[in-house]
Amino acid sequence: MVHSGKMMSKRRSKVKRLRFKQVMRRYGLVYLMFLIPLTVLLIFKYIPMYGAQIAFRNYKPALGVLESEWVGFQNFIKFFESPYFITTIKNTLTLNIYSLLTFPLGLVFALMLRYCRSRRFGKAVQMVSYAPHFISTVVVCGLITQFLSGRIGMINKLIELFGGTGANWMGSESAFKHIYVWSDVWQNLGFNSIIFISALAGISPELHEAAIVDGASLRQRIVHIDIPGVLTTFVVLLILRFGSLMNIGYEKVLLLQNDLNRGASEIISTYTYKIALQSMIPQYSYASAIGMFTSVINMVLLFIVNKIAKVVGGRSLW
Amino acid sequence: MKKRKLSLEEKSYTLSDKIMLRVSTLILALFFLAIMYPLIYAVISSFSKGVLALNLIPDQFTLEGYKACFNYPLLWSGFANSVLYTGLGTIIALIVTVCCAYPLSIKGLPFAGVMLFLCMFTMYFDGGLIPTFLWIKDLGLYNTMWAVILPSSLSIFNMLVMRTYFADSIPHDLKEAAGLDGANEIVYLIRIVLPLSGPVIAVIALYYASSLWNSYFNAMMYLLDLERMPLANILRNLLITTQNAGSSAATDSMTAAAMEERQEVMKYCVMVIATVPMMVLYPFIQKFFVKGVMIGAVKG
Repeated sequence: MVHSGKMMSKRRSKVKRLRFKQVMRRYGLVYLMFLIPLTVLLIFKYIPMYGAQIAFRNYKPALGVLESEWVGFQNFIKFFESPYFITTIKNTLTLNIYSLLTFPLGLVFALMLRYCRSRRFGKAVQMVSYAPHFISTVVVCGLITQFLSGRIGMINKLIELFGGTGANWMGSESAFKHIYVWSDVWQNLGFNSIIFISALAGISPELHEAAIVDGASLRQRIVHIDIPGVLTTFVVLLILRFGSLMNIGYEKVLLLQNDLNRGASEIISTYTYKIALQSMIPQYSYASAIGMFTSVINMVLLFIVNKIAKVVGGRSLW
Repeated sequence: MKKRKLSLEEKSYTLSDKIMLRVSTLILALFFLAIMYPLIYAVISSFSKGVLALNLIPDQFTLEGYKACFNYPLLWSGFANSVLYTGLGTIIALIVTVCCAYPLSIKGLPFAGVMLFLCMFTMYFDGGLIPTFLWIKDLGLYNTMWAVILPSSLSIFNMLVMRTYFADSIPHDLKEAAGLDGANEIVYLIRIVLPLSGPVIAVIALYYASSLWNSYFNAMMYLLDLERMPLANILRNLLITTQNAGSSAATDSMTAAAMEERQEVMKYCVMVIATVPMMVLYPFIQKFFVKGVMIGAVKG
């Protein structure tokens, strides 16, 4: 028994070696090619992950990552006790949840285009709606500040035209979230709807034909054919959005921020940016700890929402 | 045949459907205006002498604003830097992305699962801003253009779109035929796959190009010298921070109010200059967006 087992394993390893050789001959170049993106990922993604341990250290540039003193969770506790903890989290969540509420607009827009009666008009709207996505955030924020400016801004002129009184919109804390979210809708609605447009186009036309023959109204067709047809796409995108609930890009908020609206516009990422890269005494470890804290919350949220989607609707990311 | 089908569909609309369609057309028209009006306002403003009224008619047509821009040397270097970073960055990013997407699109490639995992993991988790910043500084890339170009040379999202296109849209028989003719994987990729992937390459190139052209954050973090800054950063300094960059172009005899108006016009000019290159590119490529390219992202 033992003997034959040995024979078997010997033979198997020979087969394996042969297969390895064959695989290498066939795919060697492919693996070599993959080394290029792998190097990029290693250098710009995986090594910084290793460097993220400075969140648990008191990082001194002269000492480097590994030599700096280990302080455990001290940096995290410092953040929890800081007065910025509540404000930055509140502002981050406000902006994110508000813009999450506008997420279904992409689907609504796609449906509107799909059933637009004039083909040419629909095409024109579609084409124009993509355009703002390709405008730089800097330009968009420049336009926003120009149009909303107190004295010469277009918006105040419009308001005065209709008999209202203008205001200093950029200097208002309460207006900040509306400015941020609706300018985002303006810039990205068309582009975000592309994915729904192509999902709608993928629904079999026979379903619609059969429904028309059966006398279904347009509203019924949308509710019973189109929406179930794009639901998977919708849910996957929504889960991904939840996975970045604690993240907002610095880019736009930093551009729109000023001293007057800071109370509403100081979010986690702008705060970390400030304490690490703009202050005279950069607090690298403290900023890394805040970054890690939000990453972990994001991961947890992603898992929870994915789990809920799986249990409720049988749809999930993995 | 098509006409009859259409009329049948139209007949199936109830009264409330028709009202709904009217309302939706109205909303689309308003949205169209809401996008066009600010853009047209900005373009006309850039040719106007003073601040523009709401009716979009400039009080005086003039090229003064553009003249002032061309006398501002940082704008020239910014434009040249942006062209360089965007051009080189897009080419590098396309090469890296193809080298990642093609192996992952091969059916039955051993270790493909591990390779895909290594890519996907970075989508959900990353080291964070500060560790990345310190590491790039340690690498000696600080204040070089590579710090702007290389970190964004592989977007996993773009890679997945490309991979799905390679896997689904290239007929499989071609591979067997190429194999019989003795072509190896690289020859097959270069001679057959890439020439057939025009649409997806155009779309991904546009995504990379527009994000390189439009982003200012990496340059702000990693670049020090004003002469190395891309246009977006020069623009940011002009628009957002209140420093009077435009005043170098203004003569002493101008009153403060006239100078401010001149600056307002100049801001619009710079915005137009920064926006035109992408606006010229994207209409040629947008027709590929919906055609099966985007769906790859979700299937990924």
